[in-house]
Amino acid sequence: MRIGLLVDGLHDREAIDRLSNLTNLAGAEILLVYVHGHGARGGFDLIRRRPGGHGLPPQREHELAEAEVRRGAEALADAARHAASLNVTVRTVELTGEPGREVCELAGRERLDLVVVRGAGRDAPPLGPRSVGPAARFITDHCPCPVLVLRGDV
Amino acid sequence: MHFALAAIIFLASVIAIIVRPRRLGEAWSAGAGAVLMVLAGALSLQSAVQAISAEWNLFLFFLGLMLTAAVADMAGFFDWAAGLAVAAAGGSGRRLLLNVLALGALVTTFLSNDAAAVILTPVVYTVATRLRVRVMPYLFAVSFIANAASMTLPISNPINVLTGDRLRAPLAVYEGHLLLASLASVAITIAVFMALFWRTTATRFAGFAAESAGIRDARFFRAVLAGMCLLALAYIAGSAMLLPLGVIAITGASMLLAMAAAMRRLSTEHIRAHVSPTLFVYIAALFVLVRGVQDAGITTALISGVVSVAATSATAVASGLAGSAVACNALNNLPGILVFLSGAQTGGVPPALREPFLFGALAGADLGPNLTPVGALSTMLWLVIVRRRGLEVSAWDFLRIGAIVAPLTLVAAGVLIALSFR
Repeated sequence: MRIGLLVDGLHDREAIDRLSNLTNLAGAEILLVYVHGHGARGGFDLIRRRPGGHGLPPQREHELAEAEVRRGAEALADAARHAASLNVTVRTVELTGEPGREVCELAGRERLDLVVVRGAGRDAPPLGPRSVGPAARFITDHCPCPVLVLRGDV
Repeated sequence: MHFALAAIIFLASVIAIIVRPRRLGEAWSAGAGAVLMVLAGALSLQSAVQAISAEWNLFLFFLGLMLTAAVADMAGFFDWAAGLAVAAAGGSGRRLLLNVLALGALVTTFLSNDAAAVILTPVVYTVATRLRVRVMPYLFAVSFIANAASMTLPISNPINVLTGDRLRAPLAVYEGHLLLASLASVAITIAVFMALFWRTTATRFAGFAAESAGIRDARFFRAVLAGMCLLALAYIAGSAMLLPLGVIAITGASMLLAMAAAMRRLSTEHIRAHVSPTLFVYIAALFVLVRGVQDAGITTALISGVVSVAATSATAVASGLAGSAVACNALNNLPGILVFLSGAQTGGVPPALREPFLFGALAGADLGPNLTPVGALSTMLWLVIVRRRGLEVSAWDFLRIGAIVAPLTLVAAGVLIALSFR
């Protein structure tokens, strides 16, 4: 069985544990996916948006990009270490774009049997109805394979 | 005739600023409106020049502030301060949120809300990304505290300088009316944030040695830190003695720049990134546009209408606060407060109610922007467009937090300012 798991760098160990409790992973291949999305950068640009417009000094831009790359790599490495302890084959992949769309395309390309995504994992404040979040919603709607959405405190 | 012409040009310019047709920057929309105001004969060239030159203090203040922030950034001040916030958090996401809120309040108080939003935001983004905690709560924190703390000193928000020039209130009077309100709005914002994000920031992180991160030259950093402390003292003394803050800002910034040059640490990249020439075009054009509607008698009539509900100091505070909060969200905060100041200046407000009305308007313009993201309808329209393109930005989260924070801080500030006039 080939399983894709969307890594967010926050609760990946718990997500992997929950998955292993729900299904027999013997002989499975887990593809850990980290998507460098635009969500946080969008919020960042929104706050900095002022009349007249300000750019960032090149050094600062470089530090930002480096922090983003490092966060993705570390999140994947952590998740891969944890998944490897379950005696499964682990692969990692880093993508850039809109997370839901990227995961769906990857599921088709890699012919995945299952995609696992954490719902309500967004940084949203706990106000109003608890949506599963845009990435999980898009994946549930458009993924070419079965989807497992892990909700609540994973 | 002048009335209709000035009103049409002003409204068309504000709509263009908000809608940004073909991604046209605010400065160009406002600039075109200002030129049209003169060419159409709604305002004489002499009046336009006079409207701009009368505000030399604000222009110098903006320039001084931007240059000071640029030198502070060159020295690694913001990275150092963020590093301290991380170290003091001791690996707790919640304490980090509290520290970021406190840091945002301090930067806003002494370097202005723009410096907090524009320079502190990327530093906090980088730190939160590196620590692998949720990024958005910390970015929200900077954005909201930058407005909540922007009443604390006359230098905490350029709008305060603009209003202060009309009020001619010494620091003791200013603080007598606004300090408690400012502290209350900061405390409310911190309390709301800690409650909203209590669970979301419950993660722990492994710290990194960030206290010295960003400091490439310790000697230069220490010199800049000392210079900024002196400048802060000069601002406070200048506010107390009613000296023009623009002169203090530009003098302090020039000395910091000279020091950076002498120590071979001057970075033109930082100055280019932090000093925005189009901002001056935008502000100058707004002064011309508002003078146009002022000379046509529009702002006086408008503000007379707003203040007509006020009979006492308390109701004058309330009408100024509510009116400017609405205007700043509908028109963007600078045009919004300019309309208010213009109306109050030209007799739209009875002399006895002028001071409470203007202090209320100042609070509304400082705190009101938390109601919509960055206090601007244009930002909301931009968000709608971005959402349509399928990008996930946290715009609606901004609105949801703002719907709680802004009314609470506005009401608390209004009550405390009204009490200060008893």
